Amino acid sequence: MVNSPSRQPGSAFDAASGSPPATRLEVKDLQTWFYTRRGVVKAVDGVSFSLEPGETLGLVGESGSGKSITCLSILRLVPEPAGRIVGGEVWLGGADLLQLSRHEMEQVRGRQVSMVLQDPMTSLNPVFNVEKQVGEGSRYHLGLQGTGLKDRVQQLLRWVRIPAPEVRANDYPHQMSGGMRQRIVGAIALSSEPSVLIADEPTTSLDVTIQAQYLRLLKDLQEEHRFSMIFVTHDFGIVARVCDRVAVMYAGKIVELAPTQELFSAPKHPYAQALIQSLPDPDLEVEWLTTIPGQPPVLYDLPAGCPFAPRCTQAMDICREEYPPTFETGLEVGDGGEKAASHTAACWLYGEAGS
Amino acid sequence: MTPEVSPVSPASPTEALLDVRHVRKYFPVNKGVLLRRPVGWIKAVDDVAFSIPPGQTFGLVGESGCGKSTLAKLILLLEPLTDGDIMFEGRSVAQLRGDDLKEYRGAVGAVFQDPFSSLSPRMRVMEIVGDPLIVTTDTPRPRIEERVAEVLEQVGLSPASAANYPHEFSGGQRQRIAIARALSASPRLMILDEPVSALDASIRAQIINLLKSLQRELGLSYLLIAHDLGTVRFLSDQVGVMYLGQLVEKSSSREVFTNPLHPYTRALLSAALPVRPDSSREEIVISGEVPSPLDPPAGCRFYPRCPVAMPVCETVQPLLAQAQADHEVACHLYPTSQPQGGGME
Repeated sequence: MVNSPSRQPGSAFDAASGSPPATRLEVKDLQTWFYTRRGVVKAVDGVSFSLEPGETLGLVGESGSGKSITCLSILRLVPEPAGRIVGGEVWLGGADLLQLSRHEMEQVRGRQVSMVLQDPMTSLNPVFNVEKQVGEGSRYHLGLQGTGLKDRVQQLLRWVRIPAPEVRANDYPHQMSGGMRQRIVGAIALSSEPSVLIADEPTTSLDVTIQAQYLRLLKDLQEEHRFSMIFVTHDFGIVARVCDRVAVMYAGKIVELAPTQELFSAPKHPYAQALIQSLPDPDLEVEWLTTIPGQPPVLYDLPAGCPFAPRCTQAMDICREEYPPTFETGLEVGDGGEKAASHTAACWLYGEAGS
Repeated sequence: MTPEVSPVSPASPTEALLDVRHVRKYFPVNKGVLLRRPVGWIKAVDDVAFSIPPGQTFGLVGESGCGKSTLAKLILLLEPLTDGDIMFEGRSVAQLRGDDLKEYRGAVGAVFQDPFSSLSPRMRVMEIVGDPLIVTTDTPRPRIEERVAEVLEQVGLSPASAANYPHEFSGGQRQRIAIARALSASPRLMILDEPVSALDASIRAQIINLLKSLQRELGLSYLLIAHDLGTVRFLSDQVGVMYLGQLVEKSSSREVFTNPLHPYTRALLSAALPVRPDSSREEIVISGEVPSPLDPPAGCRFYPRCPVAMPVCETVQPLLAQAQADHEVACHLYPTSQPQGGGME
């Protein structure tokens, strides 16, 4: 790396960071509601999970299940005034993010928690060149400028495997391909070395071979920079490839939370079971696919009890009356007897009523 | 799997319903303001040939920009051909005029990706679904209403929904309306361009099953364009793999998925994510991105990204030829792909 008269990018970061990026994120009973003309939409309604340092947690669900709003709530970027975080806690590094002042929150966004969005075409600004956009975070959070900033930008571009970064830094987004643009977005997200990276369907707009490249890159970067990741997707294939644990969401709630292998080999919630069974597998020849009857729920008009009950083949009377609590469905102990991984499901089948 | 003799198709069962013969579509790239002159050509579809027998599905896979959707537009006569021919029931579709053309438009239905943009928000379901009948036939009004009720029932909707507007339906139901519209003029061929990729996971399987059962019931042929390989494997009899405007591999669905020959097909299958974490599929991540179709590589178009490229690949374009029984591939790894049809031995 080129030495500059100003502070070195690395040291500037270390001095400013204070704490090592090994921070646990804990979301407790998060509730984000939208107030619309048609009524209150409980987009996120009582979501709890934790994210261990270095871990990748998948958030899967259909459109409208609340996965993106959960992420925006963590960053406190819920579109106001229609949307409001009405309850819950988000703990990161000893602070509840929901209690921070606006100014304190600005120090968290991009600094401790950053985000990669779905479409790089809309998340990059077409009138600024790559250097300006990639460098913004380092300038704001690390106070870099001049040659130091230039070096930092090139370092970030090298991290995300952009060839010839000294040339590419002067390019504008339209001069790059989709895959390269998404890597630029990745460089921006990494620019102040966050401890948590939220990736909201980052590969949906990419082609399959480019998607494979990008997922590989994210995993490599995670190993090199040791951040933890929340990976939002509706694609179980991505979950299978990149996630350690998975939370399945339905109608604003987490219905099942399990280690990835466990979820695929022994799904517990009827929704997760049906969803996994309904996937057409390119490795198998079958006569008919298993289908889930009915339509996804309408959020401002949810039935009483469990919102999946009308489509559930195993629904009982209680399911239509009361939403189930989250039950532990069996502890998995690892090979070396290490910490047991919990597998939970919000379904009456696993409560006293079901057994 | 194939119905013996398709009841609706007048073509004999041995004859292809649709025969795409060495089709090319070049789009001019113009420069200049006053005198716009072509400075180059984008070869969106470059010498593609395949055929679909009655009652069967041909699946086309490939990445964005490979020409799959342009091919669909050519078959639907939404774009004129640059070269080649498309035969439908033994007749060249480019020559069709007047009533024959109307009849062809009725015989080919289409279902597109996004049921939110493919249905007019100002039309009732009755008008949407009945429209192909009005445009392509002289069916009297009461008969149209009967037919709309009939197809709505076929796709699993209540005939009463004919009075409603598209916004009153969910995504899956809208796609059913789009399928009903494609069916109303009793087509023999349906072009399915990413029919389920905009739908929620929990309703995809419903729509895929519906397409398969409609095919069996009505003896329809499908041209399926999809990037989800699971869907392609489930619905297709034959599969063609496209790369930069050309077919690089073509065979039965089972052959392509269990015995892929072209390095691109192998990479595509491996890049397609496994449905389960324990599925034992090797992970090939190919480097680079799809080159611009404005300036494709001279030899094999996949050469710059190919993990097993040889010197010959850079200069000589491989031909799509039968390398194994009923399995065509365009790759120099197989002697049949040599120009002049000569083997290497």
